[in-house]
Amino acid sequence: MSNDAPTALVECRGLTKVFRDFWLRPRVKALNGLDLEIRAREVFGLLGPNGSGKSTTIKLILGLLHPTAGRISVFGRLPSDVRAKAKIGYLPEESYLYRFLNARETLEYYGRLFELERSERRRRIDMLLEMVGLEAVQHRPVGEYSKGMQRRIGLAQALINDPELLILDEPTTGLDPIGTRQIKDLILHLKARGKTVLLCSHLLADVEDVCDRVTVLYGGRVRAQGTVDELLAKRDAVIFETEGLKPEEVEPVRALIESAGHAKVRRVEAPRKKLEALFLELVEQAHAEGATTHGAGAGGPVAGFLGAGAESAVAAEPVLTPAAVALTGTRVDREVLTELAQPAASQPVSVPAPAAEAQTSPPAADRQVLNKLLSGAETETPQPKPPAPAKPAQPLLNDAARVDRSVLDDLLDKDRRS
Amino acid sequence: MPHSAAGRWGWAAALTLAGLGVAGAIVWAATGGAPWRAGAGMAVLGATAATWAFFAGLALARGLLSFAWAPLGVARTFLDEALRMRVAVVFVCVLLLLLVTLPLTLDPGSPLRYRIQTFLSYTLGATGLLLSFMTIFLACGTVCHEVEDKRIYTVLSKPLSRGAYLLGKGIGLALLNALLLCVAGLAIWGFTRLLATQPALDAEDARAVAEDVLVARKTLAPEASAGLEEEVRRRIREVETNDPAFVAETGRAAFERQVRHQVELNAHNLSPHQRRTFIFTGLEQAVRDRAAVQLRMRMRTSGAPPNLELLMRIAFNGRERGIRMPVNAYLVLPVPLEEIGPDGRLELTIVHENPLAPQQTFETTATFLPGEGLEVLYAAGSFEGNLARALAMQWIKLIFLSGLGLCAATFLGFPVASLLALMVFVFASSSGYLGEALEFFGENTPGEAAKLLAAVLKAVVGVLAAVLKQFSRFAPVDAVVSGRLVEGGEVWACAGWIGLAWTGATGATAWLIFRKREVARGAS
Repeated sequence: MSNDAPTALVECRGLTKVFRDFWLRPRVKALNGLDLEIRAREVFGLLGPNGSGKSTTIKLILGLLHPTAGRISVFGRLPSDVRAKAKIGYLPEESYLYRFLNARETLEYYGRLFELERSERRRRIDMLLEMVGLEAVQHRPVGEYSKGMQRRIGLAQALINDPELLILDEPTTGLDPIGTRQIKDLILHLKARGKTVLLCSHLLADVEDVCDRVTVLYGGRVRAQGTVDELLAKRDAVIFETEGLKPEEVEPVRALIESAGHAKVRRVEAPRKKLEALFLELVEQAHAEGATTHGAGAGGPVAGFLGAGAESAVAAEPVLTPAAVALTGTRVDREVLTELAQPAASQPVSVPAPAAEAQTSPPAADRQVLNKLLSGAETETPQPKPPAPAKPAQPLLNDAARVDRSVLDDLLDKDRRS
Repeated sequence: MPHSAAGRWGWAAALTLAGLGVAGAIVWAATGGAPWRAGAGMAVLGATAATWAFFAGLALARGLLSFAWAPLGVARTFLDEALRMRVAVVFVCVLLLLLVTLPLTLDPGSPLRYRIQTFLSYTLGATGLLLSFMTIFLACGTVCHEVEDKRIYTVLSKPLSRGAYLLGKGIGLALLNALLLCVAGLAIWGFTRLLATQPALDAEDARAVAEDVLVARKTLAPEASAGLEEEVRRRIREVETNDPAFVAETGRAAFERQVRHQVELNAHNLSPHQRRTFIFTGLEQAVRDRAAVQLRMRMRTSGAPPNLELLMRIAFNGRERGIRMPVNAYLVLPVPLEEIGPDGRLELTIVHENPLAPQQTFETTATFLPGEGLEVLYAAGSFEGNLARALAMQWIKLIFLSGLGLCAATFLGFPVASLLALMVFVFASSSGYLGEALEFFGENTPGEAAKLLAAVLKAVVGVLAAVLKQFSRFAPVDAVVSGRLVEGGEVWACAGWIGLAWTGATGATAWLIFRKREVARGAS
């Protein structure tokens, strides 16, 4: 990966879109002077309620709509320029497919639109069908597919050209938790391979899990923009997570913290496993027992051609068997594992962002108290966090870490509510 | 169409078996003595050839479309759409139904040549009409439905320009039409040959089938008489002097057309006892090929009862003979090759006088109308070649209709786009008749306002009819049915006018509209 400063792949300046009626009278102002910049190698989230201008923005970026005012540049070109489109993969909010084509023919078609040579086209199609778990049903017309299966083939078509910029509009709509997990893992995987992802979703937890930067739209204007951690950091609370403690062991800890004089313990509770993890566990169990299904398969490794040029070391890594990812701790890829697991494994306290560390870290005296408290886990002494500029403090994804993350998410959620 | 490899092999096996069965039937038919057995073999051969042509053409089209060029990808998917949505299958079924049932409706007591001509006329006409409708609906539907179903979001987010998208659709339509025309052509040819094995009413009927119908005859009209232009000028001057109001009211151009038409008619009129000579040139090829040359005449009279035959005299190069000339019916006479000069010139003289009793000549004016009223024909090609050229011309017109449908779909929804394209098609098909009818439109309209309205309407329709008249000009079905040559030059002219100029104009319009169109809707 290059160390160059991230360049803007998509740049919108003063973007305005007014929809008019038959008599050309202004009907809806969908976007109102939007400024947006999507940088290379980041996962960018576009959030907002219905009618806020998210899909309109995407359609303008793709050249499906024309701006009323303002300027859009995609890879330094106009959105209508086919040279820019050659680098884009797009999954619309619903998989608009040719019902009479089967999965392979669908991918053949889109591969032809990229003018891929036959052998290369077939190689990629085989990999993508395996990746999205539709190998077994590849000769069934997609009109007979369930919505989730259609999403999967939709995703595969978006990846056929090994895009530099992947635009995902509500990608997890209609997907089961396995598919949802798969999409999120894929996004992280693609990011690790140097891809840029524009994610538009109503599922805020999905966005939070994978996005580096987020823009929240309302009424066609930007209401908030920044990294996820900048936007979500809660600077007046700290969470500890320990192995199980008996109630009588909790009280001294609480007393110790409160006796330090700076903070009050607001809540102590046992964490719960996330429903998503439980679901994936059950599916994995059924799979291990050999139970049959007529739907999509579990999915295979990420297609090796995706970003192969950028990250050759990643290409051979078998990833994206969702249940396996969820349960056995097989990571998206080794690089991401290194990037993400290290700080999490060595850092029992979740810190929102490196930039916020100075403000949120307890003072030295408190730290000593904490060290005493954690003396039973000397081996887990915190280590300096390695630099991970593109994904600061993203939680763990290995097996043990996943549970930790569930706990953290759970706590964070509750904390937010409190 | 089969979706799996197993399905494809199943189809291949079934087709192979069917092919073997058909081959057996052909051998059986060929070894029999009865004509119907040969005819049955020919019909089976035609049907088989049509089926195999369909599959071979399909394979060829898929092969052609397999190159890594985005518009070809669009074309291939369009082809799959048309086939799998059963559009093509419905067309083939309707056509086969027509082919099988139509011969059953023909009167077996009528001359064989008429039965064949009826069959050809109906099947070729129906093929053209069905394919025209199919093309318009498919062209409008494929774009409109992709926009309505939002499938176009995915397609146009790929590196495919709007023009390339439309081009791909056009290529797909052109290939589908070529495929279906091949199938239809082979089926029509097979069944026509089967009909031709039926017994003719008499020797003349059998001759007519071979020499007047299942043949491609070149047609020659007599040269204009030397004084025609001078006569036209003289008549124009005369009317201008005597009735300038009439010229002003009719309009200069229309007036001149009317005068010319009248003078030409007069040049083909014969008063009782009058003699008139007509010169035909361009018969060198007929002499060279020793082809059968025919003189075809149809006489109209004022006042003679129908079914009457007038006794007259005709002469080739001065050698006179008497004939019985039917009123309002065709008379076909063989022209001896020795009567044609080495320069391909034939001189025909018609004398409107009873050769046996000149004083008993029927007192009426005989008119041999320009066009079908007086012409010389000779065999210049085969029925098969003629049929192929006619189908090629039909294909070119279908390409234009594809462009028209696509153009309408670039800015309208499916129902309105189809309606607009159908209206243009109907108008273009009838533009020849409309152009003639307009000459007299609004002449007796009462009231100034109504007159003005009629004038505006006449002007608008006149312009449209003038623009679209080429479409009705290239109508090869009548030529094939009457055994007239569809000339290669006509096919090229059709390709130039309809295929290049018109289709190019509609394609350019479609591109200009579509590149500016917002294919997505406003929902956010």
